[in-house]
Amino acid sequence: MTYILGIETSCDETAAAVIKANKSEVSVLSHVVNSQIKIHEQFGGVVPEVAARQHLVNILPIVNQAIKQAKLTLNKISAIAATQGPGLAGSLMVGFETAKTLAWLNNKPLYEINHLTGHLWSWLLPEVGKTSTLNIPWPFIALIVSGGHTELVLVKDFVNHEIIGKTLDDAAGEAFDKAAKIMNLGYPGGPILSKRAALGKEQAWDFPRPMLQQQDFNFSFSGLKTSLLYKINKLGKLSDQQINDLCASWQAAVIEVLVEKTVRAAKFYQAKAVAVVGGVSANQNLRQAMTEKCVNNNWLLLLPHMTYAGDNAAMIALAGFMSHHLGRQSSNKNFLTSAIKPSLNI
Amino acid sequence: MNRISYSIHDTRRIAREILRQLGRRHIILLSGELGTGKTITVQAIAEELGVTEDVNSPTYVLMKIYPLQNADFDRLVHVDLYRIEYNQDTDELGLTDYLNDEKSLVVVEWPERILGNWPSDALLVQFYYGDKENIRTIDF
Repeated sequence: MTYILGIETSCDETAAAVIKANKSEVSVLSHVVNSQIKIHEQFGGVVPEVAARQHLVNILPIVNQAIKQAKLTLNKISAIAATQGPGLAGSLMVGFETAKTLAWLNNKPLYEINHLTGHLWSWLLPEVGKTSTLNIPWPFIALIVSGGHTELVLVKDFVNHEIIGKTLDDAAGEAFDKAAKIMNLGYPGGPILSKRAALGKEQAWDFPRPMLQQQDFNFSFSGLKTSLLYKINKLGKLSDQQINDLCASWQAAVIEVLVEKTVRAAKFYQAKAVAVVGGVSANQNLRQAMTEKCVNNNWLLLLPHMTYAGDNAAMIALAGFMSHHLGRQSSNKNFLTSAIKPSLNI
Repeated sequence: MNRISYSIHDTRRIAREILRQLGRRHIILLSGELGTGKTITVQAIAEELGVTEDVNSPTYVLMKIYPLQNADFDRLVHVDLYRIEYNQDTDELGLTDYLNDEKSLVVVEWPERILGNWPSDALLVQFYYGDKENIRTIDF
């Protein structure tokens, strides 16, 4: 049995988790996340200095809590997995250096994990205290959608992951936040926009479906933002119902593009399943639209529990287990000089 | 200089012009509302300088760095301060090293979040919406 401590500080969340895994099943023993969203809200935005300092204040108590909740001690841990990138440099550094130090002092291997690879496995994670079987339908297409990412990844096995499409400008979650900003909906914009959308009519307004004519698997959401802006400038003062309708129609456009491109990719690569992961995978309309497509095409739909949709450390620990144990990748023996990689790609 | 852009294609052409106007400077500040063409401008600059990877919005990571093989610059530093709180010092952003390094071409979106702290020789480019859809005024 392998016990892996995961550490994640790539953006707004300080997170630590312990998983227990063997080649057929995985359990989450602990999963601790401290989000800085409330702090950013108070400042009206991110302050990198403050963010890094908050991670510093939180990291050791959170790691300690994760180990305690798992009812383990550090010497029982088999390896430490930490996010190396991509992310905010000052924030990444806190978690990664902490992991290096812990690995060094306790003589454990360090697994240097790509944050995006973490998301790829998040749908496999059971709730804390529960176990799930590692039953993976190869190959599968993963749509990673969050504030910072919109990527389509072909997952062939434990280590071979290929980005087959991505956003050419704004990430989907970022587009949600900016659209919310344009309509002055408040912070955090994305979830508020989705709530308003639930009260509006999708057919009320006509928004473009960017990139659907292109046969590739790339996305572009910048034009949708502009098109919303034009509509609002024309409308002048908006009633609540108009805002709801705009939210519904705009969200429908984003979701249609996300779903359509994912479906095309899954067909093209003859995928067995489709995974939708990352913060935006919590969006109910996206889940629903993707469910219909998967049922029609006989694909499994792989969705993370809500608690693992956003950034967390359990997925980082699991990614470590996947690549280094099941995928037999060797870990970096010279990790003492290893550094964060803020612009890391898959 | 005041340029009118009627399309994304125009904006990209104007971006190349901005690059030629740079002279010995190495910091470009792109100021303008959402959707006025800032990111497209950075993409065109990157392409012109030989960056082959896709340049997309660094809003969530604040900055992305692209190595350059260029006589003037070693790297393109694409900064986006959209998520940043107003009135911080550039020192706190981890930008100082690049702002002091003439071999780094630093292109900053939403510089007004920390206006007043930028080096005085930075090239300020302002983007405005025109009277009609798709029209932008780009001033530098």
